[in-house]
Amino acid sequence: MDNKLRKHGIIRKAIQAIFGILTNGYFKGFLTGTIYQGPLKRFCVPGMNCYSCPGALGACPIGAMQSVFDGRRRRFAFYVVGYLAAIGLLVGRFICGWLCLFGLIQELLYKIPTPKFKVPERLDKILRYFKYVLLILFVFALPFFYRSSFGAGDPFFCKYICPVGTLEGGIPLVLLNSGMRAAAGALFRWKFAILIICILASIFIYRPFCKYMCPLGAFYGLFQKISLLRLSINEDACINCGACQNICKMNVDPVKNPNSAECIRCGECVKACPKAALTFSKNK
Amino acid sequence: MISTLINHCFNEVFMKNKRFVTVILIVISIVSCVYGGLTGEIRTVYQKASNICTECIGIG
Repeated sequence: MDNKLRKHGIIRKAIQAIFGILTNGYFKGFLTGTIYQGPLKRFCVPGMNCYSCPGALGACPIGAMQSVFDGRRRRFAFYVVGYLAAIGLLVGRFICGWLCLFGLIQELLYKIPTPKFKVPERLDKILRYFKYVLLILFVFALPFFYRSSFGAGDPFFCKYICPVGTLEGGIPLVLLNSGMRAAAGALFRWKFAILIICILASIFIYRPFCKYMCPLGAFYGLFQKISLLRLSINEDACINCGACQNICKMNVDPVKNPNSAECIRCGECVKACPKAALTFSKNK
Repeated sequence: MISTLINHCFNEVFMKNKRFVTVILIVISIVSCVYGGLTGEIRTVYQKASNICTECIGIG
């Protein structure tokens, strides 16, 4: 069983890494401190991936959504919301577990051998709602309604919170570009502090950004119960041994709630079940 | 009363035809995506994504 799980973990991480490299394949950008400006930037990648990362070949869906909502125009983002809803309806949070580069980075940090910390259940439950607050307030409402005295809007989540942008875009560009280094001030330090907190938390808590802060995970999670790809449990085969619940690092109980909004569909519970009672299936 | 009615409708209409409703929602999502694309959103996304986003990197 251990070997099966280890192999599954390696395959999943390899897929996450390959997808991360493919979507950040503009290596020239890392040498010159510039970003890719080709036609692929018209399209969004399915996971959190800053479009200002020097290697990024596609657009970040959360950033793209805010740029369309922009308080100057106040347009609904049909293109990005439709795209994300279609993915959510097809596979739910499968993207989080299999294709997100920032998710992989957090998982690798969690591998550092230190004592691990389990957030108390009540606090964990409250904190999980925080990502929905960020989604509604910082991704939808503020970028849509706010208009500065100059008439410009602001991508609030990207500007004040997103640690992915700081890690993938901010740090490489500030290091490679002296002009940007000179411009980095209080806002950069604030975002850098959020990134450091996320990195430190990831060493002790499994995927803290995904659990408590990710607006994209929150959005995909809305579709978990109705997505075509879903987790099914064969209640006749289940012996209630608790193996699935024990293996789940997202703290989901797959027997009680196989399609919880918190499940990232990594499939570890499926592999851990000794009776093969859990399976991925199509929505019926 | 209203919540009972909503629950009833949800159970009767949605839960019994889950897959059908999901497929309909996927079609609506794709139509929304195409509509957004045709009304110039792709250009807005491209303009934002092809220039360094100063907000994203924390300097603007």
